[in-house]
Amino acid sequence: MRLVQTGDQQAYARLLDRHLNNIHAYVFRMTNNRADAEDIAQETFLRVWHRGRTFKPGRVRFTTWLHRIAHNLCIDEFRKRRDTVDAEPEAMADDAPAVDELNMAEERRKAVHAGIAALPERQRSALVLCQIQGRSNREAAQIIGVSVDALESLIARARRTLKTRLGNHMEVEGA
Amino acid sequence: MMTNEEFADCLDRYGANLELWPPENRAAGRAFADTTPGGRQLDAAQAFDALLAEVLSVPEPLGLRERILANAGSRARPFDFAPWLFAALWRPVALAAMPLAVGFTLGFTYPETDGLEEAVAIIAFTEIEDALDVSNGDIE
Repeated sequence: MRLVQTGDQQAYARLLDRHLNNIHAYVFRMTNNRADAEDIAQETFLRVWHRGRTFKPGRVRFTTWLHRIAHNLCIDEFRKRRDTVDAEPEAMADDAPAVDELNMAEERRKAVHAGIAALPERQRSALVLCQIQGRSNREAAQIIGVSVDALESLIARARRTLKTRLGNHMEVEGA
Repeated sequence: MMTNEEFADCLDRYGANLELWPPENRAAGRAFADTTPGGRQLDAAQAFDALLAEVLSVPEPLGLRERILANAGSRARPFDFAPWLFAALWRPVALAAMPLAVGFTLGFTYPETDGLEEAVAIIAFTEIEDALDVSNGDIE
């Protein structure tokens, strides 16, 4: 990151190789929209390039700082479109076959996507960061800007809500 | 021993992998998971985690890396003055000396006044002093 701060393009390319997929995955799971996810991921990394000097290595881990930029951009995007997140991923909405033609696994996948997309922003973010992306509770709390206790409450509420919504699919899964 | 509710709350907060629970809850959690109600709750939580794992697949961001590199290259980075200034000792010294140099330059290049203008200025100043003395009642 120090090299990126000095304007080293090769170092920047290496940084993209290492972190782009993670950030894109996080943003995609937050926005549930391919175009928005790519735009926000791009803006996140352009900010790293242009404002990288604001990163202070001793204060916070780089991945935390990076996720925090992406998280804030997601929140800005939600505010812009007044929380009208698509219920279905765009990739599936394009030429999705009729519901009765889908197999059970596909239906479950859609239900999980829709369930996560319907969660309030901070619950969604907490769930995605910790339960799906495998970030520690402490790091996720720093990214969202809440205490670890508050983060754990967010995850617990998200899981309970999602479990209720996915009740039928979970029975199928357990059967 | 944990209660049903405490175990359920921990499963919701930390997930179904007991190894990822905080150390202070782990032993009690393992003990409760060995009971019938605990085992049932753990199975349900694991099924839930497995369901979440299904959403792990995210579409490949094709060409995004190249687009970002192209955009980063085309947009000029704003010049950062502070690191440049303190990169060498002479730069802050030169910056501090600059107003001094400007002062000297102005002082030496300003056209000198002739003797008459100076005399007028001194007279005018003396008149003002006299006027002040009169108003204070100091004049004899």
